[in-house]
Amino acid sequence: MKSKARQVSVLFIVAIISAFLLSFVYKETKPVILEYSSKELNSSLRKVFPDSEVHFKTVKYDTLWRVSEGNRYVGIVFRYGKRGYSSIIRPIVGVDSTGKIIKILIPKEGLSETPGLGMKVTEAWFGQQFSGLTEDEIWLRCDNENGKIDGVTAATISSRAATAAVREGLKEFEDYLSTGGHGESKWYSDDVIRLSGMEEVEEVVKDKLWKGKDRFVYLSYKKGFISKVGVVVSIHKDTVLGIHIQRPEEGIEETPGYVTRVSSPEFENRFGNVYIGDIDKLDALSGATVTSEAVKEAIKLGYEELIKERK
Amino acid sequence: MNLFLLFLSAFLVNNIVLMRFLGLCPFFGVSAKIETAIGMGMSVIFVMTLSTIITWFLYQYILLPLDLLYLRTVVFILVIASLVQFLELFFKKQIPGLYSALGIFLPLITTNCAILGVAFLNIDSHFGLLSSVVFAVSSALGFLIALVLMAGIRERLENAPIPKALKGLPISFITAALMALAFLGFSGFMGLSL
Amino acid sequence: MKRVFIDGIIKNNMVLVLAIGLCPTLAVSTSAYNALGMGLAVIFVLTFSNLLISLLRNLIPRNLRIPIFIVIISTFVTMVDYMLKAYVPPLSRQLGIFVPLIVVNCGILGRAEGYAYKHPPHYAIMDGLGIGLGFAIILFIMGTIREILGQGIWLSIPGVFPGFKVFGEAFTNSSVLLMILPPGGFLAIALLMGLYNHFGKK
Repeated sequence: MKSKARQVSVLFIVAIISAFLLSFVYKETKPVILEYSSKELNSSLRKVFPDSEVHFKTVKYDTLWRVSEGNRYVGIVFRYGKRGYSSIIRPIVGVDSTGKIIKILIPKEGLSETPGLGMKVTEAWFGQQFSGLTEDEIWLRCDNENGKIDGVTAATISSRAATAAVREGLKEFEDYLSTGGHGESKWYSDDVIRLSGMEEVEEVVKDKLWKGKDRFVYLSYKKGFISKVGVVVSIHKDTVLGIHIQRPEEGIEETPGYVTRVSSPEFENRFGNVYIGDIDKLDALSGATVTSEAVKEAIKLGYEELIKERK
Repeated sequence: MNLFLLFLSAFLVNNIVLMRFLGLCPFFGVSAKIETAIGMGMSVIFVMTLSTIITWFLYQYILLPLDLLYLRTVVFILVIASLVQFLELFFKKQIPGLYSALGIFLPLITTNCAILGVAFLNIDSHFGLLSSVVFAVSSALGFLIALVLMAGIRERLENAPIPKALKGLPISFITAALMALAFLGFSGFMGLSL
Repeated sequence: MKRVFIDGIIKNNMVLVLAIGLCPTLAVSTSAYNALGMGLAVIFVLTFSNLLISLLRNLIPRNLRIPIFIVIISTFVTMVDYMLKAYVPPLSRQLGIFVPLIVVNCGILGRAEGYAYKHPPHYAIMDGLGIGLGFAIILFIMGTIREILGQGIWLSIPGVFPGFKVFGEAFTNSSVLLMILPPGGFLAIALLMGLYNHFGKK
């Protein structure tokens, strides 16, 4: 008995030391890793929007970035995907405020077209053809008489898909482009209306606050356990009608957070038709206390902003 | 339909042995006879499915919420090793028939990179529970079929005139190269990519 | 001691003789740089885990030795994984899951059990270094062969150096792509093994 206990305790000690060692290495390397990925992102963005004076703000994670010089809106960068031969091609496209393409970039990562053929769309010469083109000209020469793009020889499917991705992406983000600075709220609008059940937006009161016929809707953020949690709140006077918690793929800020468990209808339903003063009394989701509290905080903070506006 | 495509992808197009290079040690070690190949393949199906499910749960409900992702490797491999030990004892006592058929392969499976590899791939692909199970079973079946095919060919090779330097492992590798070449042909099948 | 080291590289060569550690060998040898990175990672893990296990060999109980080996090895593997992720991210991405998979490299567990547990530290280190180096060398040779035949370049480092164009521009544009795809990996190792068998026996 004694020796068995001793044996197991050796195992335990080794395990504990290992855990300490690893958490140490993790703590040291985590910031370096995070910094690298944001540097990488920035460098890709800068490749398609080469002005060094501008800075980028993520509007939708890995999909849309707003480019500004100081406070002035100067363009967007978007990513749009179209199925190629054997993978989805997602060019990164920089567009100026008039809707003209500055540059595009088709990254190799995540792309698995035919090596030596379809993969050639990632080469510099292919992307360069897109600069300065208008929407009508973004077609393969063989597909449309206005088209100015030469595809890769013997890789028509990949070339066509890459071209379509740029063209259709341009169309998709047209609204955002044309409304520029205030487009942000409008961009949120469609998603927000859909998610909150509001029938139509009567007035965009301010960034992230909308007024509807029978309610207000606001989008509010609070830091959860790992990252920010975003909550869309539908409210009538002082009763919360319902909420929607941002899913990682709906990321509207830079880092989509891990909120998988909290962002479930089961948890969201708890907030249906609750008086704002009673929000605190609601149960947190077991195993996700910090994040649940963040959701409640977000709701309350947004409400305070709403009150300030209404005065 | 989606699950069917997932099955095809893991079974053929992205066969874990011939395309992803997982599970090669047993692939060359155990494929001399078709019977042993089948035995190993069945054990792998068993262990791979169970371990993928267990590691999935551990990941979703413990590692992720507690921000312990860096312990992934340590935890997963310990789970797999323990699972294999447990299965060995369980089979020995409860299902002796099964033990005599599959049991001997179990210890070898712990260091089968395919088991841990599939567990990792599963997590990295962000599958839900059902998809994870399909993925695990399909991958294991892919392993089985690669193994059986290899065994079949090797049994024939026994009687073939092979240059002395290539006898044994080298000719097996050349065989594998040809098999991999054939399987490469599956890429693009039903729109599935490598 | 030197004997142990040299044996590790030649007589007990992980890949060519023991046929262990095949998975990363084939998966990662698509370029010389990747191969080098993986080789160094394995040397690190093997040497340190051998050392630690040898140092603790009198404390580690016999019937619990396997789990303890596993914890020790996987700790070093995770350390390497995160250090690579932080300091050489492009390499880490290329190597992918094969870095964590070092833990199931039967070679490492095998050496821990078969050698490090039974010998004093200075031998264990030499064994680890030798076997690791033997592995790294084979890996590097395979990486070179596959990269040169498959892409026409050598020692390309993503983001830093496009590599020496060994056969000229024309070859680079239409090289033997097969070599960097799975079948090529199998062929390359068959070739090396065959050569080793032929010349090694003499």
